[in-house]
Amino acid sequence: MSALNFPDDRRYHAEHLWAKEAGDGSFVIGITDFAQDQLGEVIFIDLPEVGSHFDQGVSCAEIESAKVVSPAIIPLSGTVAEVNEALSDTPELVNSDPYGAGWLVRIKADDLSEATITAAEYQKIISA
Amino acid sequence: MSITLYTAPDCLRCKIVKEFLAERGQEYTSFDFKEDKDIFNKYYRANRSSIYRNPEGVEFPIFDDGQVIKQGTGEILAYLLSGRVLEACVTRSELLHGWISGLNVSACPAGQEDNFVTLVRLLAQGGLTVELHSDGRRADLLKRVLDEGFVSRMVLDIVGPAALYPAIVGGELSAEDLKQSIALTRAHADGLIRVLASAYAGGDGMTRVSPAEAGEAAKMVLDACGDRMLPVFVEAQQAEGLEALENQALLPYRSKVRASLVKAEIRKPEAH
Repeated sequence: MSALNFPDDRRYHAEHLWAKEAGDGSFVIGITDFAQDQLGEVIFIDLPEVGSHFDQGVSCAEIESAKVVSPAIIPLSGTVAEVNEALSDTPELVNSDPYGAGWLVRIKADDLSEATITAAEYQKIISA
Repeated sequence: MSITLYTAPDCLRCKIVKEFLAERGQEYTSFDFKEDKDIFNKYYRANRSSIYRNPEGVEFPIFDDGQVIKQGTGEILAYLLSGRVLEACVTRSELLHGWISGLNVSACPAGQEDNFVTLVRLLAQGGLTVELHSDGRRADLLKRVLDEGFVSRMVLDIVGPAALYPAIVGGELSAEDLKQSIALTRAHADGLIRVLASAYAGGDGMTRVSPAEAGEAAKMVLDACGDRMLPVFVEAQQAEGLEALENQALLPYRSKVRASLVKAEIRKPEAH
């Protein structure tokens, strides 16, 4: 576990996704280092359509490895403004750079005050 | 036609297919999903909608000859033995961990008996533990397969009363076949007889064998074997578009079946 990384510059959700403010009020969403490690090599990601809306805590994408298909639980309610097109040809970016190039979607959040957890709180959950 | 196999490391099911191809001198290309991950991942993304995943992930090996994509060792070998002719009697195995099912002796098309026997032999000799199914028809072929000694578990499914057999399985069940199939299943070390609350396509959509019809099926079994103490299990067959039958809903089935076969018990599908 010590090798896994959880940057402090973003918000987390207990279902293993993070949300990072993009500067323009929108949030980039992705999965945590812990999640990518559990999934193993990602071979396909079924991303949502731009414009679709998701409530906090529901699945906005499906992430497939050879072993499992896992839902991506959105950490904040919002409308999809952009999806990471690079993942259609290189889904392994989710493994190699989960906090950077392996982002999933960018959303326009409904409510910035929605409850999320910090990196420290998230780490406590996964090590429990 | 060039054959490509996608395999997993230490995969017995993959090894059986490779050995069969090698024995027949058939050339093929093989990629391991881990070692050749770039090739596999690309293939997976392009063909994802045709690729089946079992509860533990992608089912390996994946066989692709440019015409069809097949998964499951039984289905791949059946295809290599006789094209698509065996598809009626060799379907997806619901069993994992060294077991293989999806083999229905009663649905074997006429003329394919040798291939069916060969298939069961190849699977067992390759190291898989074979579960064979019958619905009572083709007792002659059932005897042939069982005599080879490669079947570890034998399941005889009574899908309904004889009158419903054409609608449910597409063929007639003779009393003589049923009698012999029951005797063969009872003689097997791990033989099991089920009276199914079968789901099938009726006049207006999917329909299900009723408790009264299951009772008639049990009566037919009693007439064939003459033994009221014959142990049978009552089990529901799940199907899309039909409500699942829970244990409670199976009680009327058990009552009707017990009118002929007093030792009938309800069995959950997970109990396999």
